[in-house]
Amino acid sequence: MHTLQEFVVKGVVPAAEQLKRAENLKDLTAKRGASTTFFESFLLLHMGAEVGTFTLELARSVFSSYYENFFQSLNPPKERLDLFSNKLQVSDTRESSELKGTFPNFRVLIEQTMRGQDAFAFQRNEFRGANSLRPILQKFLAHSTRYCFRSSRPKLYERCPIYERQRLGKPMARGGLQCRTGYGRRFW
Amino acid sequence: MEHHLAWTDHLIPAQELPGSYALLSENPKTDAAILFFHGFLGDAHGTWLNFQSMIDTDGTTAPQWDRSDLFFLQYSSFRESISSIASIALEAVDHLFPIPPRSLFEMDRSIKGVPDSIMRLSLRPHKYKSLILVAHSEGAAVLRRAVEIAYKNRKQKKKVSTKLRTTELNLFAPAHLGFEPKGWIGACLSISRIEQVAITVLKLSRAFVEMKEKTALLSTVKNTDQYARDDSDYKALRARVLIGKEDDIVVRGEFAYDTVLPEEPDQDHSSICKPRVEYSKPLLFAVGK
Repeated sequence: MHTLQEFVVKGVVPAAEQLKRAENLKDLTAKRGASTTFFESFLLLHMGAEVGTFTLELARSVFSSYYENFFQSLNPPKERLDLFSNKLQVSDTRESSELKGTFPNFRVLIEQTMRGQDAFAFQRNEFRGANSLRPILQKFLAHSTRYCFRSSRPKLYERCPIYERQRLGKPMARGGLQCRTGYGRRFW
Repeated sequence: MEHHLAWTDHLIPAQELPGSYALLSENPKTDAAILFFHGFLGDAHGTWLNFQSMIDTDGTTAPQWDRSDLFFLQYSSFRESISSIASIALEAVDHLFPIPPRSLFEMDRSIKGVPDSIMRLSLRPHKYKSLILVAHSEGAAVLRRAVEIAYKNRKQKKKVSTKLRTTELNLFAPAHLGFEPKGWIGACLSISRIEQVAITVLKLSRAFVEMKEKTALLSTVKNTDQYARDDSDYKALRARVLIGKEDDIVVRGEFAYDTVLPEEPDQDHSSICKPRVEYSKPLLFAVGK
């Protein structure tokens, strides 16, 4: 199979299904875990489109099939839309705030995508030798399809107390101690 | 042209090989399959480090890589005996050559919601004309045993035995004559207490015992040499061997009809099969150059 097919079948589809299952649960942790996992898979797609592993056209097609609804669902319902929602500000929901809290480095990307902007136009890394990163990205993609979605156990960083405190906005035990196990910090 | 990764844990029916994967070329003219067998305590990824990326890097590889699919097999090199891994190897050859399963190349159409543009990306199934088996360390002992089994039972195992007739064997630092740790490893092991502890643990491994005691290996040497003498056309009975000058692990030596390449300076047991920018020999050796 093509790398993108393998990624969709073994990465994106299981993550989308996990998210769908979690939506019917009352367990907030499961919901957060599922949306985090789903967003992580989007970041891989975003990166793949940037370094050229996937063509932009195909990445957009995967985005519109799987991710578009997810990002739209982060917006509040139309009747509750904030009067001040505009190009400079989005109205947050609990889900969108949590996602932005989990991935603080991707706030702009999340907000622009929630607004319906082109997801692949924002927060690009602008690598100089993007092509040379393709083998490394292929490893990430392979491991994401292999390990991320096969276990129902929470990921390591989800069990990290420092991460949890940070995510909930609680003060750190030792003044400003940063969690080093969060996905965003590990890879970007 | 690029290679696409596919997990092949379930390549052989009723046999799970977790961690095995394939790199499938998108070149529709692909006509060669290359199977990689790791060594003792190795794995399908680490043992063959850099092959995965360097085959797709411009200017550093032999052009054959473009027309080859690579299959990296993973098995329990510690727990399983050489003979049982050899039978896995034979099954893998049987399932992959010359026509590999279509599911490796095509997406399952029953999966709902996948856009047509993604569906259309499926690779064209390949049909192989040539097969190359590449091994490192214990993997070489495994392949030697596999070829011996296939040739010895060529009437019962006619299909796989015929396939191996034209198969090339390229062995990195082969342990087909056993282990014989020297240098620092050997010196540490010669301290009696360390040796006792190490040997006690290692003796839990059937493959290690076989390679240490060498009885089964010597029988394979004897048989293979005899078969090669009797049947000069059977390619898999004659291997190409590459070993590093700094290798302190395996017994140096080859079978009577093997081709031994000059020792690689500055390469040890582990580095011999890992191509780097400054050391591209493994990329050439693996495809028979």
